[in-house]
Amino acid sequence: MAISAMEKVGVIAHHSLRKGILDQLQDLGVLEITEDEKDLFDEFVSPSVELGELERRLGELSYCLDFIDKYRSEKLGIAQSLFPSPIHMEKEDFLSCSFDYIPLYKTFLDWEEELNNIRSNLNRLNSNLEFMKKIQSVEVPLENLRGTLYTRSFLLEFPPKKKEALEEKLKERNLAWLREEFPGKGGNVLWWVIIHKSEEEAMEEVLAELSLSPVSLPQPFEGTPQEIIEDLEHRIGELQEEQSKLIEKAALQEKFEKEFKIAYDYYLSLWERYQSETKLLKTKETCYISGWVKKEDLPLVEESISQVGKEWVLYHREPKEGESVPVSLENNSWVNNFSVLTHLYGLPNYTEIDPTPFVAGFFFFFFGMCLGDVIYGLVLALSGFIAAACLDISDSTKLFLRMLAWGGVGAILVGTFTGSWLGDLFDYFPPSLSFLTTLKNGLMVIDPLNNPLPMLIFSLGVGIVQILVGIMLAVMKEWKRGNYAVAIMDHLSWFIFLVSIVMYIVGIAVSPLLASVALPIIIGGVIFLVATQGRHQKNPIMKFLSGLLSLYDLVSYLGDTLSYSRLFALGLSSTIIAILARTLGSLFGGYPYIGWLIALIVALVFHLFNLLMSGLGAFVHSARLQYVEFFNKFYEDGGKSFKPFGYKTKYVKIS
Amino acid sequence: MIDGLAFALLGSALAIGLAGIGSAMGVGIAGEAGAGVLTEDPNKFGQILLMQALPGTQGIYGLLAGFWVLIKLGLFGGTPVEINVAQGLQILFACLPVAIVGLVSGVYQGRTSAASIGMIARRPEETGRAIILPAMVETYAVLALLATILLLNSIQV
Repeated sequence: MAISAMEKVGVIAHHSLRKGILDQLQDLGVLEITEDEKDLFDEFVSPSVELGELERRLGELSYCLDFIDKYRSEKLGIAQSLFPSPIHMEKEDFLSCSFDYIPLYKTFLDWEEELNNIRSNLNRLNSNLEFMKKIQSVEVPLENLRGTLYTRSFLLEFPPKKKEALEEKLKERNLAWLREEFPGKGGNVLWWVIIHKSEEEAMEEVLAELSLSPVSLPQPFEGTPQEIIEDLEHRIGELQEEQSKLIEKAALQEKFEKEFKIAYDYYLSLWERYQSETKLLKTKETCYISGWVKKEDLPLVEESISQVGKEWVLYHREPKEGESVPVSLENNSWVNNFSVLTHLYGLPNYTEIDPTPFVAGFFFFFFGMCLGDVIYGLVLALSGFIAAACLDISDSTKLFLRMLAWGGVGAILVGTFTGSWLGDLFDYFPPSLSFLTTLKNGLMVIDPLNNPLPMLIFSLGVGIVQILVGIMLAVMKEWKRGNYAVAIMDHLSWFIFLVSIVMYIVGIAVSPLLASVALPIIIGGVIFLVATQGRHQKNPIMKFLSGLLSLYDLVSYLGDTLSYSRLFALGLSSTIIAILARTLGSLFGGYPYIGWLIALIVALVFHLFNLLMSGLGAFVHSARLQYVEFFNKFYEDGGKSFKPFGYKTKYVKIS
Repeated sequence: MIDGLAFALLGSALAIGLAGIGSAMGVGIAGEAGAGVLTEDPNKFGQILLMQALPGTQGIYGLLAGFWVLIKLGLFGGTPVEINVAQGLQILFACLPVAIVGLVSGVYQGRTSAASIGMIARRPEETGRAIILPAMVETYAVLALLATILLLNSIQV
């Protein structure tokens, strides 16, 4: 179906053609080179250029890009950093990239080092400054702290209440001392104390008794603190100026960003090239390239290789059973918008069914039910389609935006169906616009606000449909694989059983005839399931018991079905919050002059908030229903995606 | 004398208040984890913000239920309805599912979001799956909202 058929290709060529063939294949971008079948030869081709050298260059370039990013004058907005626009380039221009980044790289390194030096110097100077401000009032040059031949001097800082105790103790010991007092910071006092050298120890004892210690300087200084502070401030100013000049210069380098990005991608694609070369096998005269290619692209490969020369052979075969084949999904363009959902969950195995077409339809509808409002849907659809068409963003982002936009279209449909147009706003239109109200009511089929039950039943019904589709897919899958017994006994039987139960329930409500038709099928289903589900057991009693036990699965089907009630709840939730927005806005509507403006702003803010949160909820829950309730019926992931050898780029889009 | 209105308003207040607390705690837990990741890699702001917003829905469900009660009582731009004590109590009880489940599930969803944020930090390519895990917790808040809506709808005033 929608998983592309793959072929395994092997090319044996003369060494002289190796480079040419690889160039052609990279250009073509349709072959994923693998390194299996190692047992054929035992030697690998060693690449002509050191991969390590390329990795070093890539590292240097990403350092440069980080540097530019760090010092750029205007930071990027969220939108730009989330959806960066690619650089468009012709292939020839890209391949002839000759940007010599080394001088700039070295300059960046120097600047970075200089900036780091400045930063650490600034730190040191600032902490000195802070220290000096504490002792700013001291009017003695600090070089005198060292003392003289017969004296020692030091600086003390202590709270004033210790002053008396200190004076007393010093008096007690009868020391020869001199002091000058200065006001300190934080209510402390500063003492410049000079004592005779011989009494240093006694002084230390006194200080220890009062648990005081002399102020120690972080480094030797000269001059009074006031002079030092002036000097420090001057030097800090100079450094800051130097720093801002450097940062300014660094910010200017933004103009090279594009070149750096191109060079980065250039080396990245070179790296990819030589990395692929290491996967090739060789003999003395030949090399062997093996890989996967989509069946339809096979002629392309042969044609492009034949342009290189004649000394080669190519063979191809279908994948063998049990081989791990890369998976590439192929769908029409509408379904493809939703392929991101399959990728998020994990790709199917090569032998599996591609769930994307089913996921696309269900997600479209579920998202619509969860958002459930015509105007919200319109806003989302318009902004999604316009953004995807006009913005210069990567293809995968475009797909995602288009998926959301289609979800918006779903919301328009469902909103029309449930009569939610910005909640109930259309009921409050002035008579001149009453035709819109009539239009809204005319199109409305179910009114979940006044009568929620039909909408709830509808949600569960949609869920049952998806579950039944899931079971049917399991039947088809097993049938295709030839497991007829599994297909009929494990899946088709449940399908019929569940359908008959639904028929019976509907029958009770609507027509007794339907119920009476369904009842025998239900009984038959029970008997069939009890009879077949225990077939793996040997003991007849165990056969019966495990058959009986399998009926318990009905509970899990019931749980799955009830889980779809969220479609109703989320849809109703966005409608009610929209009504809340209208009501809150109208509270301000009565104020004179600008009341209408306040009302409009309040309502708009609330509507925007509701659109964002309900949109998030709609995406998350619609996806969850696919993954948890739908996929567990039939789906096995674990496929690895097809990554053809080509120009792997991060910033550049080659045209 | 207490009339039914007081009980009904208590129900509305509990729905908005408790579910709001649950969301506030959940968003807070997720935000703490998110801030840690953002210090390392500011470029992930978009994804992290999305993950932080996930436990925010309980508060909205609570607000919705509380608001529905107010509409039902005609307190929002309609004619106020007279209700007796029994009806008031009925409305109070109908509000409890979304209030209680909102409170508890908000916290747990916040924790799961925080764990998923850690997952995004290490494996950014797994963002899709990381979003689904907290959504599993939210299922029960949605079911509680559903219960509250259906219960409220069945009360005649």
